[in-house]
Amino acid sequence: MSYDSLYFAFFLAIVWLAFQLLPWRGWILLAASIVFYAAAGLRDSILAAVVILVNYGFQFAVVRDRRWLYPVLIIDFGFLAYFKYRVFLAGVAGSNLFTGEIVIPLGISFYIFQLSAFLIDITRGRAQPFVSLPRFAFFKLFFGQLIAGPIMRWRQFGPQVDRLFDGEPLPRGHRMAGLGLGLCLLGLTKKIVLADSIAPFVDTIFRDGPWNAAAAWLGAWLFAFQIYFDFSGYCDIAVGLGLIFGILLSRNFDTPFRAISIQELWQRWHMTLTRFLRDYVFLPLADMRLVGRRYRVAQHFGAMVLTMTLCGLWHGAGWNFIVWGTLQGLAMVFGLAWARYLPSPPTWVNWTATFGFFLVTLVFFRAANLGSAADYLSTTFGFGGTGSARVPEDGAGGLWIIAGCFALLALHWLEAQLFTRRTVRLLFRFDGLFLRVLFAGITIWLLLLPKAQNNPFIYFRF
Amino acid sequence: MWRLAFRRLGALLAGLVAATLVIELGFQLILATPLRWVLPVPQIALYGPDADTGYRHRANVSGLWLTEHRVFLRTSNLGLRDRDRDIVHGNAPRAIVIGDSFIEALQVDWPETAVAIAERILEHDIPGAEVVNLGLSGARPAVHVARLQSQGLALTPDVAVVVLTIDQLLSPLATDDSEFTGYRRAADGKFHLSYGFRSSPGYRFRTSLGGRIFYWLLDHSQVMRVINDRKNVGLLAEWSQPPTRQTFDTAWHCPADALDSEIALWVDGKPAVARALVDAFIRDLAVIGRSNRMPITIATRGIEARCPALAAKRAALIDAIRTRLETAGLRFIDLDARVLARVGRNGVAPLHGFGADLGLGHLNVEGNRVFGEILAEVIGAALPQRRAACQSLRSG
Repeated sequence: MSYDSLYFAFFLAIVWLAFQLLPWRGWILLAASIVFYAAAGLRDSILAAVVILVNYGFQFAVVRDRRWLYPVLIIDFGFLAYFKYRVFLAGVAGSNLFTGEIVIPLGISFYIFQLSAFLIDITRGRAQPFVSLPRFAFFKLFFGQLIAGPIMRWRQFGPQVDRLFDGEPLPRGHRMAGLGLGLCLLGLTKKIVLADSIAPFVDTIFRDGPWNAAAAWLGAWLFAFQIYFDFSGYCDIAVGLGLIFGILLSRNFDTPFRAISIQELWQRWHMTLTRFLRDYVFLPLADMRLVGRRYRVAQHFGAMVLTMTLCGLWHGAGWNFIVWGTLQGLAMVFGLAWARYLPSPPTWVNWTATFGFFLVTLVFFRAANLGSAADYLSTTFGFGGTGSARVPEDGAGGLWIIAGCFALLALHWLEAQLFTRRTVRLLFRFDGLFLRVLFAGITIWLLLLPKAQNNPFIYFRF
Repeated sequence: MWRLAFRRLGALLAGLVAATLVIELGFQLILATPLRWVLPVPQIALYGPDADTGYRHRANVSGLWLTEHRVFLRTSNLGLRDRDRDIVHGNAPRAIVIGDSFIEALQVDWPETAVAIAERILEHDIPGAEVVNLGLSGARPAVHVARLQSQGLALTPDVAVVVLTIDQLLSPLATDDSEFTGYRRAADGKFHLSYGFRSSPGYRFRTSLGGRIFYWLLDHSQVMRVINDRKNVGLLAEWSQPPTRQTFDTAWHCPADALDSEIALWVDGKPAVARALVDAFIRDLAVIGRSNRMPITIATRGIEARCPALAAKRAALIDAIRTRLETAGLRFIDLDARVLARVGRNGVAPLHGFGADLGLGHLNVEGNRVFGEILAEVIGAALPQRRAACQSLRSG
């Protein structure tokens, strides 16, 4: 089920009605989540069930002896490796054991990370095991964040799961519903109105290859905003869905294109993944006693690059993703080294360098493979054009297109102005039937509009 | 308690009205600005009821067409996918081109349609020559005939070209008249045009006052278009949407049994129902042509011309079709062969589709240009025949 579809709206309406009218709130959301995931198909459902049962069983063993963590992590990441990376890994090993197109089980990267973080947190004393299997299943399966995050920690989500199943009243009563509907509307607007409208231009430029540097820059610029609006739109809907049911999910984006360094950008982009990587990959690597004190900085830098390389690999099984991640890591090291040894440039230089670097490296993320990315980038920097996609005609010599590109940036700035405590307070103040029906009504109208083209959420494929 | 209930009901209704107004204003704003070339809007609703064909374009309707390619459309004053023109024409010749969505070409701007291109080419040689587009999405053989009889002859054309997708004669829908004109077997055992749709509830509603209000709303409200679009695709359409885009296969397919059903029909006369349908179609067109002294050309498409392995079969089929049509006094053009001769085997697929769907779907701008040039040739060749017919009439 996709959040940007009318049938999901019907599904949500039924679940919400049941949630409001019946006393078994946790059970209702668990049942809804199972139905939601079952729509993904039998294979994905069986896999999810197996992963839940294995992790549920192992959590008790992990509490008794932390060494049990390793087998369960091997099993979890073994599933991930098999279902997501088998063709790539076999290819790297020079084997053609696995060939053909692989269909990645829905949300596997996200729920494996969430469950692994949970088990690691148990060993660190930051989480408690779930005695109840339904509660544990709900922790993994909640349809508001199952497919593409945000990746939730036990300390944020666990107590909320217990509260739901224990029948405790919702925080702030039902007043969060208006805010939740507002976020759902914002997310759908980002997805349907912006990301899906940009998608055909990006698809054409990356498929046919840019004809000249202008087309290449346009493609990269538009893709940056497409993926931002697509994924942050999804995350807004996820957080909004949580609020409708009285669950607080983590924010995943904080207007990242305002960042003035790559580190900051990653603190604002897919924040729950960044935190996961920081806590469970970077810090263990950086704190490992591998070298003497005087080389600790180098170890930190190495850990940073390796973490971001793994971040790239997490996004996709291909060398282009690995290069993309590695470049992010190298840019972070470069930024930190600069800050350490050289004077800081003006803010606008930092912003331009950060945004420009992110745009250019996104080509590795979007291109089909390394070769295509190299061709694209050579065109980007004026070394001839191998493709046939030109800048579309706008009847004004490109002025409308330039205006449109800057309008996207302006929308980003506008979003930053919207996401404030003041807005939240205002929404709470004016929350009521009128506001909720207004948000729900606009949402339904947007969903009623048939799609000219099928554009699934980009992160659903990860 | 009642007061609270009324307050809640009022808030609910006010919220719904406000949401509808916000969406209406939003779409109107998008449509009124260059944002319409990028942002989502509801698609134009072009068609209305017609007693002769079941449905047709409504006159002077404008809006965005989104399927395959985003185009701003406006139907003509005569209710055609055409430019505005007078129903009466002067001394210069006028040709009409009848066909389905292939000729209607909603996916490109009007000047880029094959018919408009043919008109420009002919006008270069014969000042004032006109080529009128009578293409209509989903039109089948019976609709072609009915449209020629009613809207076509009203334009007093000198020449008519009927572009026929060949497999339509084998489609079960050819004998279905529940939504638009079809061929039904009459008491004499032959197929005749049938208008069963006229008694359908849908047609009756569309021609009633309620229908007129509905179309007025469609033309003036974007929200109404959203509802209409959703009605057309179905409430749960996204549920069955394919997860991935269809990809363009550069190799065309030449299965061994291709053209077998067409050969069975045109050479062996099987199945009998389709044979009778073909007879009726040819008979009706021939009668119209004879009674109006108007050369009618049947231009067939959809007979795969790129497969060398099918060459012999194809030649036999084309020969059979040509013989049947020419015996009845109709002209025949093999459009697929003409396109192949112009662009070669590898050049046919790129004439279809746009952007990521290049190679799939209807003709793109280049495809319309190629077909426009062919249409100009076909019409140009038919015009002297018309002049000869007129001269013989005068001398007689």
